[in-house]
Order: sequence, then C-alpha cells, then structure tokens
Amino acid sequence: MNKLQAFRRKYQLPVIIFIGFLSLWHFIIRLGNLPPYLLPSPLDILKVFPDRAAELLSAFFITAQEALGGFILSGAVGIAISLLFAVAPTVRRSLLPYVVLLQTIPVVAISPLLILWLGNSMLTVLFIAFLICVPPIIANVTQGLISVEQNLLDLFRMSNTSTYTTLFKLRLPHALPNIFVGLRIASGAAVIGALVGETFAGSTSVGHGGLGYASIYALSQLQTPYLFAIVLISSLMGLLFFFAVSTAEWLFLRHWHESITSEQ
Amino acid sequence: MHLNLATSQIIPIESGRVQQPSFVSVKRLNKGFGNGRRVLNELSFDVQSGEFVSLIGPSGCGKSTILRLLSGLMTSCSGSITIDGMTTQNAREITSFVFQDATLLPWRTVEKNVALTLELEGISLPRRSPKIKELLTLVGLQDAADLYPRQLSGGMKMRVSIARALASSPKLLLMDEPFGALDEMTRNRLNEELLRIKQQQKWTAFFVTHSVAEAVFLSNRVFVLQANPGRLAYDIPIDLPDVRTAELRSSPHYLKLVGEVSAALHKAHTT
Repeated sequence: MNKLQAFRRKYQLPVIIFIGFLSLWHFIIRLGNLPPYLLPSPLDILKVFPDRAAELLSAFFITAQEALGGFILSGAVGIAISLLFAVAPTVRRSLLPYVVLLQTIPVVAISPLLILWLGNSMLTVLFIAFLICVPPIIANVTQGLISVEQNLLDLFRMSNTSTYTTLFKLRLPHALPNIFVGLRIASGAAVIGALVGETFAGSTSVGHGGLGYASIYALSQLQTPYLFAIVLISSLMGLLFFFAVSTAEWLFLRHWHESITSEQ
Repeated sequence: MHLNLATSQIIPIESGRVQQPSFVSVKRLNKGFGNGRRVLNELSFDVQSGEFVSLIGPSGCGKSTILRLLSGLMTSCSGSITIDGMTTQNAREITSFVFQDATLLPWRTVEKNVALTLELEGISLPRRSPKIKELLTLVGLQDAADLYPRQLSGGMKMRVSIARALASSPKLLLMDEPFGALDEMTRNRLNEELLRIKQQQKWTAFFVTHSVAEAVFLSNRVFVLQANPGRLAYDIPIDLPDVRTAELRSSPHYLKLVGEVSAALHKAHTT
C-alpha cells in the first residue's frame, strides 16, 4: 500500500502535466485551424505509426545498427586504448591531448571528407558515430585506470605482481564506474552520431536510409506528422540505449559502488 | 618452504659466545628526498625474531619511511637492511604491510579481499579456501565473509586488512598506524586481539603509532624517534609479560612504563 502511494506521489503530477500538454496542443490546433504540415495534432502523429509502420521499422533498424555498431566499436577501441594508456605513461602523455582535441572537432564538419574516402554507406555512418563516441570513453576510462590510490598499488607491489595483473585485477575493476560514465555519454552520442551521419552520408535510395535520411526526405515532402513520428522513434532509440547501459551498470556496480548503493 | 641460509649460519662474537644473527638488521641507514631534506640520518638497529617493536615520535621523524624502506617499497640513499638474511626486495614474500587505511578492494567481498594476496601468489582456490576460513575465524569475521567493505565498520575493515596481511603467513609484519582512525574502545579491543593472534603465530612486527599507551601495550621494545633528521633517540625495552589482557592497562607497572615512554617522547621532541 505504501509502495503504491509512493508510486502515485512520484508520477501523478508528471502524468497530469503530460495529458494536459497534449490536450492543450490538440485544442490550439483545432481552434487556430493550423494546417497539419505546419504543426500536426497529437492524433495526426499517432496515426502515422500504424499507417507507415513498415517504413518506420526499417529506418529504425538501419539507424539502430549504425548507432549500436559505432557504440560497441567505440567501447572496445576506447577501452583498449585506455588500457594501453594506463600501462604506458609516455604513450599516454603523447597522445591523450589529441584525444581531447578529437572531441572538439565537429564531426559534421569532417563528414564530407569521410564521404569522399568511404562513400555513402551504413559503414560510413557507423564510423561517424564511432568518432563521436570514442573520446568521452577514452577520457573517462583512462582517468579511472590511472587514479588508483597509492596504497592499493603498494599492496599489489608487495605481492610482486606484474603490470598486467595489476592492470586487470586492480586498475580495471577500479575504473568500472568510469567506464560506465563514458558508456552512458557514448550511448546518447551514438544515436545522435548515427542520425547526423545519415543526413550526410546515409544511403540515398528510398527504403534503405535510416531515420536521419527519412527525416530529410519527410521534410522535403512536408510530411510533418511523419517527421514528428521520426523524432519520437529516434528519442525512443536514445532511451533504449540509455536504459541498456544503465541496466548493465546496475548489474556490475550494485553491490559495491556508491552511485548505485546510495539509491537503494 | 622457504630455504634460508642466513639463519643457519652462526657468527662468533668476541667473548667466545655464539649468537644467531638478528632477524632484522639495519645499519647506518640514510634517506633523503629530492628537495634536499634529510629524513633519516645514520639509523642503525637490530631486531630479533618474534619481537614486537613500536615506532613512535613526532611527525617528520621518518616512522613511515622506515616501514617503507623495510618493505622495499622505497630504497635508501646509503646503508643496509637485511631481513632474515635477505635484501628487502627478496624478503617481500615473507613480509606483509598493513596500511593506515584498510585499503580493501570495494568490489570484492570480505572473503575475496582476504584471499587477494594468496590469489596474487598463484595459490589455487581449493588450497586457499580452508586457509581463508581459518583467518576469518581468527579475526572474528566468520559471519561477514560475504559482505562488501561498504557494509563494514572501521574496526571490521581493519580486521579484514589484518587477516589479508596474515594470509601469506608472513614472518615480518609492517603496520603503519593501522588503528589510528578508530575510536579508543575499538582500538583497545583490536590491540588485545592482535596480541592474541601473535601468541598463536610467530611473526616479528614493526608498528607505527602516535599512541604511547598502544605502543607500550603491544610491544617488547619501543623506539622513540627524533625528527629533523629522523634518528633513534631511545630504545626502551617493555618488560611486561607475554600474555597481556585488558586488565594490564590498570597495572602500576604498565602505567609506569607509559610514563617513561611519554617522558622520553617529550625529551626527544624538545631537544
């Protein structure tokens, strides 16, 4: 009973606001007689989903593959580079500034070059997503790997452990919370990267483009309700990525890390 | 298991008597840091196997530095240290370090934290698990095996840290103010338990502390150090019985020794 009350207290107001917002939206359009291509009503948008399910689903899966591919690749490459940085301080000092610099390059600006070299394809889009995701992962994971307190390192030294044992038994688990911070940032960036990438470098044939390409197409046709549906489904993808990472984080850290245990 | 040549050698001394070489022998040790500050100056001492030595002195006297030199985590500028006839580097496998904070790995349970050193030494799970159980019982944590460090009190964390240090069956235990952050009641109880464990196992201990009472209660010898540069001011023998219980704290002889060490510490501080 108490749980139910707490649940209601937490969600009652946001739900009321949400319903109120949609109703207000609907009635403003009805009263102001706005044309649907300028601003469709919530009902118009809702209708798009059953009407154009196949198109939306196919675009969703194409973008999801690119975003997921870029995300996984950036996770693997980012963690591998961070591990190298952790055992080779000289390499770290020489290259880490460039990783930070990479973060400041607007990927949108270099994507025409990528098209020039790699062509218009899903792989190019995946690569753009990867480029956006990898710097925050390297920055966070490296920080976690090298910020182990001296006493813990001394404890391992007392057992005459090798650099690699220390890396995998001490530094890597110590960096887990940072790994998840990096992955969480990357999960959002991967979806953005894939969408932006598609508008530049996605497949241009109808039916093979992802959500980014579909949105450009919808705009050119002034199919505004479809455009809204794309926005919604893209947000859904972002949410899915975020929840996947948060769930993995919870599974790995629930027993011991403050960020999780303090919420219990 | 550990082959040792040095303890089997017998060195004759002038009077014709024979004597075993010291377990820990430190000769004319000097240590300075890069900024030119001299931390230790011509430090020499000998400690026999099984002795419990407390190091006490003002801050900057190099107490912690001595432990770090003995552990081989730091190297001296000149002078020599031999532990059981070995260099400090080689003596690491018979040496355990207990740090000021418990330094537990937060992602490991109590049991797995205690197992860490054995695991790092490559001892297989079936061989280490009975040993871990025994150690947990020894420090009174048999019911906390599956808890994580965040679920433990400060005193319990320190017990885990001590159990982990004892897991590799050390001959030399280096403790850097292990109970400094605990309240007095917990500290007293852990002092008594440390001595109880020492009765069962034979190790030699160096124990850094700021508490005169703790130093006297635990030790056979108390080294009072002087600062700038760090050197040995007094080497005070503590002739209390081997078996010590809480009642000892109110005995006149104990209190007299506490007074003597306090006075020595005061003199070392002012001269």
